[in-house]
Amino acid sequence: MKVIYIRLFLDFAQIGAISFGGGYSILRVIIHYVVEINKWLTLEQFNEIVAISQSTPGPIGINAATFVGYKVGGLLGSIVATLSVILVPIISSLTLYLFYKRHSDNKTVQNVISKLKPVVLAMIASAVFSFVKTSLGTPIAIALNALSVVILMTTKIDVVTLLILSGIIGYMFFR
Amino acid sequence: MSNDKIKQKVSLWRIFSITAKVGGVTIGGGYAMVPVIREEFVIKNNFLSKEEFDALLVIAQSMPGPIAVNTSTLVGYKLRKVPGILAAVVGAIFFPTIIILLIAILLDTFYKALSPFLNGMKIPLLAVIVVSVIKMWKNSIRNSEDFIIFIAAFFVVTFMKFNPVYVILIGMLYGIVSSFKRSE
Repeated sequence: MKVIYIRLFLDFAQIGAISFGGGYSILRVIIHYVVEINKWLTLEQFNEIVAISQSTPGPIGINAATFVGYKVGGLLGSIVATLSVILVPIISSLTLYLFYKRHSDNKTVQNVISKLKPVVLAMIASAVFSFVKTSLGTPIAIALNALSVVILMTTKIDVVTLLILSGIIGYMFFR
Repeated sequence: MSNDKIKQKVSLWRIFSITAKVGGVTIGGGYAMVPVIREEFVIKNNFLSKEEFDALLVIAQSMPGPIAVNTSTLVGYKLRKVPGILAAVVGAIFFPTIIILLIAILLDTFYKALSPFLNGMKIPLLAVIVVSVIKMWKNSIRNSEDFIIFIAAFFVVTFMKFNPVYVILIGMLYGIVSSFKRSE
């Protein structure tokens, strides 16, 4: 019973600790812990959370922590997971700020961040494979994705609007 | 100097209510929150100067974690030290957490009614991620070294199911080692 809260704390603290680059880079890490290692959710369920996160306020890592925490350990589980995922970001940001105040030279830090950029992009690109089944499973889904790429690249329509529109299409045609 | 005077004025409740408001309206999270936080703290309320905020933002971007949480942490600390961090961060995650919790609770009950909508929402996610990779490519892959790092990291995470934690840590080690080499 209590083991689950320790598990949630340890895993979500790790997820928060390495979520460089924000946004989608964290998805691959969450999939690793939540779907592959602990099997708390199926990939289908996880994709649902991603979709929900995109249409509700808040960073995706926090949304996923709250949701998974609730599924696994109820209200207390959701609080533990949510606080765990932001613990390291808060401490590390503050530490770097205090360090910055003392040392104006930060070339090593800048270089590390610069070297991490392609790694962060690789994580995001890798997350693409998790969506192949839902996004490219039917001809209609393939067409919708092709259309979405064009819309996102050429118009000012944002991701939220796009996802909500797609939800309405789903509600009307896929029942 | 004038900053100390300002610090006394800002109540914890004020910090909380501003970040809560920003957190509640910026759907999708991430970088959408940054200009809104900036507008509230710098332009509307004049709690921080533009330069101070930009310096905090560089630090917030450099560290792991959601940019909104990191920015809130530093703005909170700058205004009211550790209690300020608590007020700002709890504010930033307040509405997102409550909304997701309600959805998590309601999903069990209304799952069948909601699922066609959610199924529709899930479909373009691949397009969303592909587009974000395309848009980030130019800024992230700047030379052949970056490209090799990208391919190697992509391969081990995707096909060898490597723990992404270790991949990031190796990347950090490489960054540290290569900056020492450069300074020699």
